[in-house]
Amino acid sequence: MIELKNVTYTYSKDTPFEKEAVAGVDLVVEKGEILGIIGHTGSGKSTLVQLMNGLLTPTKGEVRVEGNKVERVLPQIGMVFQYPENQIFEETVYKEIAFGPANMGMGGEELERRVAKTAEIMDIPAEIMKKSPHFLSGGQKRRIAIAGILAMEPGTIIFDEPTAGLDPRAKNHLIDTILTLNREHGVTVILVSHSMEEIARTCNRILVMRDGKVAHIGTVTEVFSHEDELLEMGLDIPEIAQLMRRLGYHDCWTVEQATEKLKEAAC
Amino acid sequence: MLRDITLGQYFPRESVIHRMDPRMKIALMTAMISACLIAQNAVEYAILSGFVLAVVLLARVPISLYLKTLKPLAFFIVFTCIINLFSADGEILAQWWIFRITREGITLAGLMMIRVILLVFISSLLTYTTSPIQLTNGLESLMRPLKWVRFPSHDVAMMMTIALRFIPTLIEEADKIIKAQSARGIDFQSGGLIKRIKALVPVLIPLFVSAFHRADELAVAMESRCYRGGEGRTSMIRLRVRAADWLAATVCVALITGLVMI
Repeated sequence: MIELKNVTYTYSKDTPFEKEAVAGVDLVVEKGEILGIIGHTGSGKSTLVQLMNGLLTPTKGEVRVEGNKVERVLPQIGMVFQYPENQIFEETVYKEIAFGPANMGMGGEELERRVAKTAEIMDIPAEIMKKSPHFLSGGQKRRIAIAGILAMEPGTIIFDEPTAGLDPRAKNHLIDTILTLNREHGVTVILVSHSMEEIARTCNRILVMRDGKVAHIGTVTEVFSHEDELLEMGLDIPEIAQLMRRLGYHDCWTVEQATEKLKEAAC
Repeated sequence: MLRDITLGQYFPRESVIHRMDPRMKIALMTAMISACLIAQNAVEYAILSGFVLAVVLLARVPISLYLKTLKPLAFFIVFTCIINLFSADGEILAQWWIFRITREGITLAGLMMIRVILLVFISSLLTYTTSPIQLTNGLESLMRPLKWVRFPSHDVAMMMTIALRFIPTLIEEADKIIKAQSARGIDFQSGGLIKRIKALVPVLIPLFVSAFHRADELAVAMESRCYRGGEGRTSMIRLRVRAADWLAATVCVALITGLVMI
């Protein structure tokens, strides 16, 4: 469980370039949930998630993880930054994935087992483990970079725009993997995304950020029912939901839900 | 931490100094720096400091910014002062073992400090009041006569523009990679020298990889807009030396001549 109490973060404090990115946020992330974070560019989403795992320390307020105040970077909260493939540096895929757990002091057979298990979850074929990650495809590089974080077996993983720049198949593949992580491995997921479809498909709850503050927080239905307000913030509701609204269905956010509804109607 | 680098940053403002021709600014700043090195006694330094302070006020850039550039040099300034304090011969004021403080030593140390501070102020004045683009335009124009010796002034200026343009981008990128790697358990703060240097490898490799990618993309972007070097290229910004620039030049030359005459 991650708790944020009245958290404020100011960049370049006490200089002419001072900017308050997060202002007085109260939030509780429950164990085992998938929390989606949406908001206009510059609304403070990235800053907020960096505060959660200790990469940034709040200027005011406090962050608690499992009841303990966060004072340094926490290995139990994994962070997948935007375009995580940009952090790849090792000579082989194996070493790249093993880097995190090795830093935690793991070695020998245990490390090998850990890397093999992670590679399996991330669908990384065994034959590329000894290859250089720098010459693989974009989608594969991203899966390897994510595996590098997963290998540390964090209880919570923060994904900042994980599907940006991927082709549709790689996108779906990655979203499926995130769902598997949550459902089968019990990982708490925090997902920052600009794709309303992705958010509707995966999340239990949605947090809407606006000017560094929490504008809305609630279930998918609760948040997406504020359509006009979302539009005004430069956000939107999923396209399939827009279609279903025109057809008179007001509680339908994903393609799966829409299919059900339409099948019922056709009978 | 990397965001705090201020040296060479442009601070946009509406002021007489900002509006000056960059070539004239570069020339006059160079002249002022030489004046600082030539000046010898307290009177000359007082005049110079007064003049520099007047220009700083005219430029309307907060003084706190200049002080911030001084901060990393504090050690150097104190060190030179101490060396000067103990190394002059003359009337002895205090003595202990091989160290002795003389009246001349105190004056020398004081003047040295003022000299270094003035040098920092003058060079920051140039970079705070001149945008990088103007600065390189000015340099390109000043280097043009070197064409006679086949010096590629346009290419050098273009390289400088690109380098300056990408410094903030690289800093941002480095910041991001440092964060990403510290989330993977790298400790940059503790450990011995070798451990810390090793901790830099996972930062430098991705940084170089992305810098090369970016350079490639930039080259393609420039070529697709028909960039082919300086041959026959005109500039959007036409530099012009105005009356105000000549006035500034006259004041500076008068001041420096005055200093040399005293």
